[in-house]
Amino acid sequence: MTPVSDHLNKTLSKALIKSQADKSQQEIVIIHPEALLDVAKVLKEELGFDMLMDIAAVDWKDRRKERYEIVYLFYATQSNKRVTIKATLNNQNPSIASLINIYPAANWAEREAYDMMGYHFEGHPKLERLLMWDEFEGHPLRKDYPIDKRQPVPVLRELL
Amino acid sequence: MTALANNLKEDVIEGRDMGAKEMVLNLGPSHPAFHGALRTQVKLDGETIVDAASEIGYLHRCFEKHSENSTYQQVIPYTDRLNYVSALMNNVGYCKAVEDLMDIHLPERAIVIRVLICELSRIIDHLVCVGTNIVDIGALTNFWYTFNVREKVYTLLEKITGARLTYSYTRIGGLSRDLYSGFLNDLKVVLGEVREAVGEVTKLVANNRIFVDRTRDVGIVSKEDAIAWGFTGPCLRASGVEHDIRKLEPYYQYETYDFDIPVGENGDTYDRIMVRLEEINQSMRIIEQCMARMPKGAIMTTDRRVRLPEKQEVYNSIEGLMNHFKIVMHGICPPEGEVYSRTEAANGELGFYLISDGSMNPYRIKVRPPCFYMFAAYEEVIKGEMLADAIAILGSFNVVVGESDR
Repeated sequence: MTPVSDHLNKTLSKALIKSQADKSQQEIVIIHPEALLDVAKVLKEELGFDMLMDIAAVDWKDRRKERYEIVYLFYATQSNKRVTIKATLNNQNPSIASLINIYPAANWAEREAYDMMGYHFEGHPKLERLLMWDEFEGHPLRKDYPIDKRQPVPVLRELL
Repeated sequence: MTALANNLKEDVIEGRDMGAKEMVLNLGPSHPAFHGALRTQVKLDGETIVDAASEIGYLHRCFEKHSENSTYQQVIPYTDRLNYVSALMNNVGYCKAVEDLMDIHLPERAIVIRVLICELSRIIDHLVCVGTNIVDIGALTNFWYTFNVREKVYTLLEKITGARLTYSYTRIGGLSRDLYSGFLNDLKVVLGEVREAVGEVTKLVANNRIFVDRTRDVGIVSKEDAIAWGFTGPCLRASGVEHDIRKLEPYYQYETYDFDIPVGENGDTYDRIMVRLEEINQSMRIIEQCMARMPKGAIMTTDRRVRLPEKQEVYNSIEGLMNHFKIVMHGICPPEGEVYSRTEAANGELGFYLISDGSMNPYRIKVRPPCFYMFAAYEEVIKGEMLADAIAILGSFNVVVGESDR
């Protein structure tokens, strides 16, 4: 069963790279990163995936030629279906469009991916660090960030 | 009366602009009404919030990075510290993710015990949330009722697991130890007390004029907004969406239990509290069914990839010794692959997105903490509300910082 990729094949065939299923037979669709906004619109408006559950950033350092991957988990409340959308980002400048206008839940999820993995989200109004502090250097979840590295403790900042 | 006071009086009567300035106020990061190290800065016009922005990260301990550098078993104690109000549910959620990845099937007894402890955790989580939420808006009595029985449940869980807060009770493939004899009798007594307390609290607040005025139409989250912001669990159900993973994507044979999903109408603070109170009753129904069907048998799977062999076997056979050595020294090595495993935790959908590269360390674990998305929306929800209501709303969202910050 690959309902999402079948539909995308009909409407946005250029966006699609391939589709597969995970262990629980949930559909995984791999798309071109530049097509994300179009795919998200189709998912929300035509296929009823009205909820963005989570965004996961994965660093495949040395294991893949293009190391940065982003994973979107969508859920449809009406039909109780799920789909995973994946895209591979550029090594030099890992950047992808922000989903914040289509899915407001993307706000903090994208900030976290920026903070932890250094992905850039075009169109995000406030792409700032979320869990780490502003002066923090580097992105801790990248595989080349040493786990025992320490950095100076920050001071309280103004939010407004 | 002086001239100044007279002028002031006229200004107030005629509603003239008295040149009051907007005030910026910090809520948190360390304040008793802000449960945990959260910080929201609000801009006030009088007592009305005109702008707000939140910040998290004070309790960030790089759970995900630590997990990547630990074995699969070593992650279990870390999960205790996610939602520390109902730590057992994180234990179960994480172990379920690894088991899903490895296609491990649990024995019947382990499944029923996991359901039972999850529902007990849901009860204490809701008791804490409701109790502290109501005490924040001025009703202290309910706090004693809820925390009194919560203590009883804690004592019970301590007798099962050996710990009061950070249980680490589950193992990949089962549980660390069986229930003690006489547990079901103790549980029956505790359930009776919980039922009484929940009944008392419901009677005290449900039609209480002050309580209703403080919570009705406060912090309304519409159905559409709740879905768009990624709300799950009681907060989503309070907004009128009948969504519960236990019903829609049942795991651990939840489809065989008889229970209802309470749903709210307005999506306000009142609904969120009432949904939680009713969920406690429904959890007790599930626990009673668990008690009735509690099967006998093993609490660990027989799968040799995750189960430590019996001591007898380790000492007397080379296979047993090697098996023991492999699990202790090399850990558990799930096959290459990925899984997104979710459970219905007390706060909503607790998801573990797990990637294995076939080695003894998880390649990537991404947790989906349910309250992360609720608190992300908090700054939008409180705009236009009164300052005192912001505290009531925060309590009803039940933000647990251990979980949102990881």
